[in-house]
Amino acid sequence: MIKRCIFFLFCVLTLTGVSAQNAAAPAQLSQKIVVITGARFSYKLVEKWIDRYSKVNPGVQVVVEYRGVTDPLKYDILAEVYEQEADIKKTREYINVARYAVLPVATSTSSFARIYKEKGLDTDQIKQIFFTNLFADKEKQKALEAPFTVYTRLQKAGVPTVFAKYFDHKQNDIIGTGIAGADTHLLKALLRDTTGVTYLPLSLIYDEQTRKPVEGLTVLPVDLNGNGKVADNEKFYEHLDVVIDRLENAEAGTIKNVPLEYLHLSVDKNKASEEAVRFLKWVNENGQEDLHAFGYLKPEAKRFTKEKFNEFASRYGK
Amino acid sequence: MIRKLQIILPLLLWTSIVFAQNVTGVVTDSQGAAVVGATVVVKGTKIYAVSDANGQFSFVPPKELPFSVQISSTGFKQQNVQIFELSDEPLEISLVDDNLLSSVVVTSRRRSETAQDIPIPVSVVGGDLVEDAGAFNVNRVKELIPSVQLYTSNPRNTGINIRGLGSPFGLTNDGLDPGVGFYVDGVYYARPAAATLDFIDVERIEVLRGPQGTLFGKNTTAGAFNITTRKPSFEPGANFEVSYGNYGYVQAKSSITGPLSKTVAARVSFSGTQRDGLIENVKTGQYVNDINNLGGRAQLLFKPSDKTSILLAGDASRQRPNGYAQVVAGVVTTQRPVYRQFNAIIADLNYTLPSDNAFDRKIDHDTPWRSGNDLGGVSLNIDQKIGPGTLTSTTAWRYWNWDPSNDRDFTGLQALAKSQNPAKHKNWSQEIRYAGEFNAHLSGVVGVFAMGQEVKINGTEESGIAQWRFSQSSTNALWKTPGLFEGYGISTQASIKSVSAAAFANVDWKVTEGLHILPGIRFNYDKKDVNYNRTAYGGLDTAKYAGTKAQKTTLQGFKNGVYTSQSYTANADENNFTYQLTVAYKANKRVNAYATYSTSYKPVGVNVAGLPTVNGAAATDLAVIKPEDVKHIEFGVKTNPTDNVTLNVTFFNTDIKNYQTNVQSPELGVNRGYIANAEKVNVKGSELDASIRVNKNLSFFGALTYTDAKYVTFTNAPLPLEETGAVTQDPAFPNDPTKTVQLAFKDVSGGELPGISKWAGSFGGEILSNPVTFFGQESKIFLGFNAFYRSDFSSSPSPSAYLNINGYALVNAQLGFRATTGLSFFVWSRNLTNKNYYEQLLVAGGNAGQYAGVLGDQRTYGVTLRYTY
Repeated sequence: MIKRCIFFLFCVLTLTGVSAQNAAAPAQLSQKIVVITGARFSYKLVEKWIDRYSKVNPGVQVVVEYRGVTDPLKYDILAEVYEQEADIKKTREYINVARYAVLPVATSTSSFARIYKEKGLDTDQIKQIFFTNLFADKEKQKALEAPFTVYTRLQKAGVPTVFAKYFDHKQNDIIGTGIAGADTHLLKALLRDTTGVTYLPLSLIYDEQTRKPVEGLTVLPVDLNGNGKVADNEKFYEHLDVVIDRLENAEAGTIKNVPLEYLHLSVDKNKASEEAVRFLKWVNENGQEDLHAFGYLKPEAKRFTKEKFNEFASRYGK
Repeated sequence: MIRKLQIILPLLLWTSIVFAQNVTGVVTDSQGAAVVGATVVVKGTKIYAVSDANGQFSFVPPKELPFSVQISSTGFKQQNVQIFELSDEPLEISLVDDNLLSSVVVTSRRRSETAQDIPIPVSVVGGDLVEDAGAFNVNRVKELIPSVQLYTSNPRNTGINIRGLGSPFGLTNDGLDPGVGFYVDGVYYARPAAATLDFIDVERIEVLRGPQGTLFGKNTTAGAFNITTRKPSFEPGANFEVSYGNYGYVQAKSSITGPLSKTVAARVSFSGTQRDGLIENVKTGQYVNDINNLGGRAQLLFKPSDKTSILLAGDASRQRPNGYAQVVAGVVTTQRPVYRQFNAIIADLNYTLPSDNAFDRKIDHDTPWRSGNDLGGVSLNIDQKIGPGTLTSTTAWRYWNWDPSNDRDFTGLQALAKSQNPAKHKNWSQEIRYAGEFNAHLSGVVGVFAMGQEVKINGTEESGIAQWRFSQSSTNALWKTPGLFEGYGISTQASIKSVSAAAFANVDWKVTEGLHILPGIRFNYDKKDVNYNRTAYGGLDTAKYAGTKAQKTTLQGFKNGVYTSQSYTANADENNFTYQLTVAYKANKRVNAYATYSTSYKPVGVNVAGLPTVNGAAATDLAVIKPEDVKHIEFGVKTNPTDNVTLNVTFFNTDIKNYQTNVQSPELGVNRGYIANAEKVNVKGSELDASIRVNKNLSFFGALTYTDAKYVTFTNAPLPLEETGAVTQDPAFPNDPTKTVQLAFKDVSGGELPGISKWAGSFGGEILSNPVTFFGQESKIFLGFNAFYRSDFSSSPSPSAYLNINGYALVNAQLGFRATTGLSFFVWSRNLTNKNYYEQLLVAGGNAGQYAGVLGDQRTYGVTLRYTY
């Protein structure tokens, strides 16, 4: 009898534990829930928007959830950082709310950082450092003057995809030590290695408060105008606001060697919840206020078609 | 039912939790095709996995995040991955096929590391090369690693040396410990006879050169063989291999592995080798020196959790060869009178050797050769992850039974009618160690070890009808007395009990990213107790001889000159403290330089094979010999000059005080020689290891060693064979040239150590095709070869003008199809150029002048079929 009781108790506890885990996300059942997932480096900005939105819409709970193996399209809102496939694009309504820039960085204590902070990197050098090319003519490659170890994301992800695509490669072509984790782990791995080199978005390179690069990190200037040299006026990476200003205000198409891509938020055109659409409409109207604070660039006018989404929002649910 | 559910439900929940924690992944090439057999190693741990036929792998991750993983496979660039978070998503590892060398994983420092990263000179031979090259025992592997020397006149009398050091040259004395540690899956094999057995399911052989006492339980003053066998797998698999060759060669190997439950896996492996004899006994019509080996190994792996791994293993091997006959290789004129020279002796006995050329491979030995050799044991290995490291307990019990029969006069004469010293050996050992990466700057191993062993010897040495003529030391006619020595012998009961204990620690302190400091310490305790008792028996009963009292006394004196009874006990215990310090500097990813200073002791020795007689009494002061005191300096640089080249060089200098050596006595009673200390020995040299992968279809490896090994001081060395019988002026009569005394010793200071070639090298390579279809499966055609060269070397403990072996080169080759799974097929040849060479020369008992050779095998060839799934 005692054994049966223990067994029963065990089952109850087990089932309780399992159901408690499943129920962990929706804490307040009375509120309406909107779940967002996507590129993790965008979460800080997205959470700032949620914070502001909650103050004016206290009855709605917008939550960010780390994406697991669940089909991402099942979430209410996707915050993605690279252009999605055409089939998916057809089914979703987007706001291209922000842009982000990706830059090469190195561990500050490395001789590589010391040398190339001054010399900068041109296109060929970036390709030589980051990408494998079995057919490259080794004789023509420039000698790199210091040892380095490239770190890259192992799993398919937005930032490496964008970085690789800019230089006419695929993410798989990036050579180096793979990091299983998020973009923030790239940063952590880099700081553990005195020869580390990687690529990161501005929002991870710079400290939001001091506006300077994270301690231990050095941005490697690139040949911004594509003339094959890195001039002194192309070395401006000491302050985030200066970087944003230079990149944001440059004439369209004149910036070379800095991949720029959109952070876009989207909902399913047909199945989105009304609350999700409302939240996105709010971001569409108010989200740009926070971009610079978090290291993002404002979108180009031609891509940020505020009215298009507002129109969709006004139609939705009717 | 409830009771069953009570068991099953928690188990299911628990196992689902365990399996959910596994890191899974798939390894592909740049085209997306699965890479089979890629090695996935968690750095700083013993965790590793191998990708299966679909390129998939799985392992239980360490507790602490992040951790680093290395993925390597031949023909691909090594990929490093750091895991910062665990995910349900499988890792997708894409390897770049760019003709780089694959890194070799070793566990010599009790954690998985790449060979190029560790500041130890280590040679690694993988199981695949062992199998393809037909290098199925240590004697054959030595052709791939020129720093290794192995001498075996039979399994008991086997010595493994590294850089010329480890075991004394000649016959084995059970009272000495080997200087080269022989470890199989962490278990110390105390008997050098293990080196003659067939490898069973070997995954990898690591040979660490130089003293390694602060890493291993048993002291290893010269280096270590660290052999890793294939372990039970939770993925079912099997391979079968059969080889046929000339001289009736048949070898069969099989291995089956798979899960018995979710937590228990097993592997059963078998190996059997047979070959006809290569030497004809013209007297019996038999071909001797055949191969007749059987061996098996069974392992059970129990993994109750991701932190615990328990491996129970048992193995048994037996050899029943009609062998190891040696062939008279030459006759030396000694300094004894003419009538005592070998040729005069056999002429008087109307005997002629069956051939003057040893390489006719003919003998007429009248005493059968037998080498029954049984070796086996059980072991229990428990790995328990605790904190940042792994606590390992290795418990083992092992046995060795040796049942020999030898013809040690090497002729068809009944000089020595019997020479056999059967031995039974048992030992237990226990090692407990903790190894791991304690933090980002500190890794290492700390452990304790204890071993007890006992050897019991029950020997017989017996003279025959021709002994009188070999022993005759005067022209007295009484030597011809019928039956004087016939059946005259000694029966020996000897035993040695010994206990060894040690505590050791070796840490790797990463001072900066490039600079590592590796101190190590070891405390050692050894105790040995010997009982030796031999009784002379048989021959003519001189008391009943029909002659005068003086004649009876003379006859008994003749007998006593051949054999006497002898009895003694001896014991010794000794403890010592040794240390080492290595400083390693990785200037960059391509250069890893290191310097080591180490001290070590080879334990105290005791003579357990009889002592020389001085004035009719056993020289018991020779019963115990001092431990070897080793001081070693090493400089090395491991480099990868380019991505597809490995180039390593080492320079070493070893000084040994009280070098333990074997002294071959002309006294027949001391039939195995006795051991003694040479005052000082020095071995210095350099080693070069290189490998290059030209492209994915062509690769080469090579090693070259230069070794200069000398007795710095050895004033009481045995006389070389040709100086047997040398006399000197009797100091009691300095002015009377007719008064002389027999010389027993010689100062060989400055002379070279035996068994060491100044130059030795190996060179090999492989040409591999792109995949082709063979029997409907994807295979690659391969042509492999390896060549081995060594320059001439001395085969006499004291430098001799005669017992020297000329340098020789051997070439082995293989050609065939190789498949990762399915059928592989190849033809092979060993000693392709059919070179005649000696492995060792040995003086016949009694020092009449003849010496015998251990002949290297002539050209052999055959075919191997292997099926793997």
